[in-house]
Amino acid sequence: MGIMKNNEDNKLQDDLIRDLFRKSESLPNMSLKEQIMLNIEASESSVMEYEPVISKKVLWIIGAGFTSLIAYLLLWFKGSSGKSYLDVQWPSIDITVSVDWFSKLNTAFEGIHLEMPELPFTALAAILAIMVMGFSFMISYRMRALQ
Amino acid sequence: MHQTEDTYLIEQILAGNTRAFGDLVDQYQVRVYNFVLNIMRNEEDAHEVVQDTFLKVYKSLNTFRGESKLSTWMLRIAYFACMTRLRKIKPVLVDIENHSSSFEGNNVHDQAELGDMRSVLAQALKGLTEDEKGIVTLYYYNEQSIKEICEITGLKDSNVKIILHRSRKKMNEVLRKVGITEWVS
Repeated sequence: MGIMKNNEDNKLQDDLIRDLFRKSESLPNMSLKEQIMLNIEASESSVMEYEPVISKKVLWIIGAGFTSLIAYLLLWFKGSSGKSYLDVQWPSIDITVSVDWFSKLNTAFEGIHLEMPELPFTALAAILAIMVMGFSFMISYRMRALQ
Repeated sequence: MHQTEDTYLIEQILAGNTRAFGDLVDQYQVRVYNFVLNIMRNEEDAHEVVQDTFLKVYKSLNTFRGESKLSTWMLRIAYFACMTRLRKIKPVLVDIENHSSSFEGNNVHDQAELGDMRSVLAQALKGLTEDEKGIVTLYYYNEQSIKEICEITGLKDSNVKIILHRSRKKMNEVLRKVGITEWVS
């Protein structure tokens, strides 16, 4: 009987406290949701993945084009002298003769002549600028990726 | 809110629908806010903690496995956000009781009838520790079971029961002292 009374008292106390909480419910500021959504937007922009202006695919195409251009200028393009800028005349090296390897190596490179292309200064400056920009872009891309 | 609705909202949010997160905030902000307010006892701090809580919820939603109710998971984040904040601000905390002591010495039942329930609650919560405030709020206001309270606070079942019993006793003493034994609705 005593236990039942005790349980009943506890239930009444529980109901009283529950009502107190329910009746005391406060409403947050109207701006709370707005502020939460602003925080979400701010966090979204701060964790946004870095996306370069030029995509990787386009960079590869530009790189391949640039390499082809340089290769063409060095190997096939004939300057005013009628010679390629890179003139390779492979020497005949007798590998059976036992001379020292260092002099053999020297002989091999003796046949390679690189002439500066006879391009206008502006064209050279443009190529240089592209190279500098390309390198700096690649470096910045790597740096951002590491951050 | 039904679990299926929660699941749908979570799917939408994870798919990048920020508006769905707005719906989630609409659904839970009052409950989370009142839970936090009852622990923090300061509206300004409560607003900041609720903001932190929802930001954390948004960022960690992909780790929510659905093993508990979404509300339980959110309240756990809110609970720890409160505890972290209290550790930082405790020396300069200006609590809500300072602003709600006007009824002391008066007939509190009349005050309650006038709708100043928050003052009564503030008085009843005054003698409780932060843990106790959190646990009674979870149990009576957020209607969490003992098991869910254990999940939220990380406390053992027996500890939660003891804290709840002790807090109930303290709160009822205050209510009896001010003459509240039942509500006239």
